[in-house]
Amino acid sequence: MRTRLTAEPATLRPIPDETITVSPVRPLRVGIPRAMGFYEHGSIWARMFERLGCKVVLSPPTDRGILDEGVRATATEFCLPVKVLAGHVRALCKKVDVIFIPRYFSSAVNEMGCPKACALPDVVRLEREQPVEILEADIDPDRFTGESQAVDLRSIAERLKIDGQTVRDALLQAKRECSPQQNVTLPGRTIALLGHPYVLEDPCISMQLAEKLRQRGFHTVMPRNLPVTERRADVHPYDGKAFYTIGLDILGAAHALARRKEVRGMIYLTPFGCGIDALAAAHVEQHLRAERMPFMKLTVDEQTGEAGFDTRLEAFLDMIGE
Amino acid sequence: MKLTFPHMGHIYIAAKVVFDRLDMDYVMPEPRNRAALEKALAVAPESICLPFKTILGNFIEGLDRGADTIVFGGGHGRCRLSYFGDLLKETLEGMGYTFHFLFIDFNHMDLRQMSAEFGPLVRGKSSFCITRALLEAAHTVFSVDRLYTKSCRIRCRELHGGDTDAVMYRFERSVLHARDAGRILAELREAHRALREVPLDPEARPLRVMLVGEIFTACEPFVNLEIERKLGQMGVDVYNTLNVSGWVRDHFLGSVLPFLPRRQPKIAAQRYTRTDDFGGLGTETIGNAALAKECSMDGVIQIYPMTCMPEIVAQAAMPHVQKQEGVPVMTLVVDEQTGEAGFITRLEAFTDMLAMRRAQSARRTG
Repeated sequence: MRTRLTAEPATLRPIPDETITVSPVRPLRVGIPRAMGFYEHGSIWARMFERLGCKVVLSPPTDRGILDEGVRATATEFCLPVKVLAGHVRALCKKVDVIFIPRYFSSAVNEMGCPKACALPDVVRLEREQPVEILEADIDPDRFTGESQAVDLRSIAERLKIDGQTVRDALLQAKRECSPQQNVTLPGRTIALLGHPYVLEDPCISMQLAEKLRQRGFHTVMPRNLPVTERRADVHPYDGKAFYTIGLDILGAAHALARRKEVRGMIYLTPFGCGIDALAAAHVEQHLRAERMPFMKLTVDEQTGEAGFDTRLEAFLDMIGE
Repeated sequence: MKLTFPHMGHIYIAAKVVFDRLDMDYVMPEPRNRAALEKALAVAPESICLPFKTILGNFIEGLDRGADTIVFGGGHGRCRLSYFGDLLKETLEGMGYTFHFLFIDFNHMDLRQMSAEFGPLVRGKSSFCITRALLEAAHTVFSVDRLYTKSCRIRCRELHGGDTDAVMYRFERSVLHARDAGRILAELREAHRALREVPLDPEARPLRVMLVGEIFTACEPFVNLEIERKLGQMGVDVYNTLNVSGWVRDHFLGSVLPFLPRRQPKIAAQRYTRTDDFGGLGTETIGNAALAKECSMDGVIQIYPMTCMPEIVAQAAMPHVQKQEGVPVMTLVVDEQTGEAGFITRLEAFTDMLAMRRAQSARRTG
């Protein structure tokens, strides 16, 4: 029987401290799943790993196959976005050396992350049968003081065998390069879409809601399109109190957008069982009722049929009466 | 001012002691009131967890019966319970109630603010009187939890079925009707004594099951469909890892005395998760289940309300706990539509399986 020489696993040469870009024997392939935090910070992480000389592999946009794989791999009680993440991890795991999944404890002081987001690397590790290396980074401005210290990059530095400052510099540079495009001018009649970015912007979970509205002649605006200051200007009843980051984004956006006359209605897209949406949507609903703003809450899960979804959307648009 | 407060497990007994001792006017919502819950279900967001709905039901009942002040707590954490206050207030106001909302922030206990808020309630009482009432309440919290823990030990070993339940029913009824703190404390002592006198079966070798999960659900018999009593009647010794006194100990004493040792479950959980806190008591759930074998438990039951975020994460670890520690784990998810018959069937099936497992391993070891 012919014995094959197995190649040494890719190791990285120790890097001289003064260089930022790293040139390893074979670049470490870092997989970034196109799910959960990806829509907000994925480009920053990708840029950071590229700066550090890694080869970044993104998973393909969510399709039915990825979703079905994820649903099979995950405990039933999880919400759809976590199941979709599991599908993306599966799509990636053959193509990469490590999969990067950050742990969002919090995004700003006194702003909480969802418990599931805090435990994502664990959840992914627990649901895989064959081991896949997960690279994680804790993000917690509540615990690590100072803007530049808010991200714990030690595990990345250890894995890449470089020093922490190099990673931090790369992250700061990546952040500068990927400043978000925020568009606050609303051209003509607009529907505000409320919800998590990883629900609204995922082509499969959202059933292409934004695209469908565009075809009917509506513009769309999401919380993420507003600048942070506007999203935090009025978050009644959580002004000055601790709450979930995403809940504050949605509440703030709903308050700010309800005052715009271009906004003809709001649609809240929520995955079934989302704990934060249960609170945020209740507050939004109460506020919009007082403002007399047309509002619809659409709940999706892995069994949502597109025809029923479309019917509800059409009924809502008919009700707005355009 | 007439107070009302929500139920969580047996904390109402301690609340009664304080309020009676200080002559405060209050309305205690009836424990296990399905009609009040139904009223709350009509206005609560559908995918919020059952604790929110029962608390809202308690408040609706309290306000309907003439209360004008609500006492509630919260803080900042990752469990939604910390943020219930604002939504409860908004929902009740949306229903047309007017009331005063007394909110205790557990993360920022500001004594000056608290005395400003609660001062008017206890006007005319000496600080000695207030301190005594609070100490008695603290004693009651711990003593009541000891009583219920003891009842779990005794119920599964009693010689005549129903002895323990008779003691506990009598205690609960007399506490509900007592209108003075001394009476409640006397009833508590009497119940402790009566439990000691329940004749036990010396041959009994009950199955030992650990109860883990979400604290409100594990403590509140209305929400967990009296799981302790049901399992006890099946001859199972239930070790509930969650109770109010444990929470008081960890939350208050833990923050005052930071040198208390880091609790063992948190350390045990590190085998399955690389963070020591992802919200609520999720890591404790994993850690306790991981320690179950060492505590010579036959099985573990995890119980949590539908859509509870930290417990869903903990549930993901359970298949691994089961495999690596060799202890069976069953997860029960409850909501307002949980049927009692189906619930009992699952408990019976689980205990039957545990009994068979025990018999099998006894045969194997000879």
